[in-house]
Amino acid sequence: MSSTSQTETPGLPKSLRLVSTAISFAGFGAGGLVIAVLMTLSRLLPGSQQKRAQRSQFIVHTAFRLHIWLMESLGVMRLQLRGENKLNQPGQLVIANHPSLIDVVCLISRIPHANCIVKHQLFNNPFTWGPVTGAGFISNKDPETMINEAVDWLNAGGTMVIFPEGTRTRPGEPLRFQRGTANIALRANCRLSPVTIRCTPTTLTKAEPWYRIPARRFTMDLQVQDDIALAPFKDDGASPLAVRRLTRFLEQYFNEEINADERHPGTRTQGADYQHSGS
Amino acid sequence: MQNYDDIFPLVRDILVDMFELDAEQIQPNAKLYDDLDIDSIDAVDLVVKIKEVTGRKVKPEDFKSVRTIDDVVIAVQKLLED
Repeated sequence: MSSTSQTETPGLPKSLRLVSTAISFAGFGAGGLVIAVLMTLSRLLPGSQQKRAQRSQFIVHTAFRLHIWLMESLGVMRLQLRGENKLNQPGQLVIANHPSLIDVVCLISRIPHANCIVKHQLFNNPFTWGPVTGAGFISNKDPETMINEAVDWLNAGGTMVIFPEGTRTRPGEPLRFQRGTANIALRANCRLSPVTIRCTPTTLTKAEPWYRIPARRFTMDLQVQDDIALAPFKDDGASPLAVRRLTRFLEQYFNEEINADERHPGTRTQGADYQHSGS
Repeated sequence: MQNYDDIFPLVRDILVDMFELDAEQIQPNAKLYDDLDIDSIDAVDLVVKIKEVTGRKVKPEDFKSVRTIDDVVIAVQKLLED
């Protein structure tokens, strides 16, 4: 360790960070069980379906907030969120690129009542069934039902988080968006708020096992961008052509924003931090 | 009355208009999803369109097993025969 890294934000040596990372993963698993118990309790409490879903979403949010706090305290990562005041608007559809495993943890840790679309397998898994149904999360099993449920949720004033890629980004390749997001946005005619996520150094991608940790503590840099106006894309609602146009636009938008980010990393406030990369 | 060769261009024109496709891409054996990138939501819109154009009632099961352009043409042909 160099002395400079002790004066500023101390970075742990790699071996210790591997232990911290393992603890983080174990904590996430244990947290899942605690959430399942809390949600079962929450389901027993009185309240409408909507109220219960909100309560369950708040439990997930709190757990994710704790998890981020744990990872930051253990020196595994740092979360940097810019434009946070643009989040948590009623009827807002938050869309983000998906570089790492913990993108959703970062986002939901800052959004107390968020709905998401989750893999339908989680509805069949006895460990995850409770939480995902309790929180009213939407299954991706049948695309038509998925879109209708998401639109209803947004039109009722709820917030949603969607990763339009549908899965984590393949490192080094341009983003490819599925059309579900554009379908939902155009049908709901909602506030569409992009969040660009950058994870430096890259870690927890699709291509890496969890124990292949980066050379230094990683930073999750989330930037909430200005809303995207839907008017230019609408024709008669969400025609297949309108959906294709919006999908193409969003794809290009994110690819450009992310590449721009990578070209000017020095303009970032956390830029100085990178120089103290303990290794 | 309506034969395959009459219906094929009708289906082709609908697909070209709706999904930004080239007419040459619309071949009988072309697969909707794999070759033409028409997903299940698009398929719902397509069925609505076919309902409009043919003026026939369409039951969801009529198009349930449709995979290729050929299947679509045959399904439309059946609709018009009923």
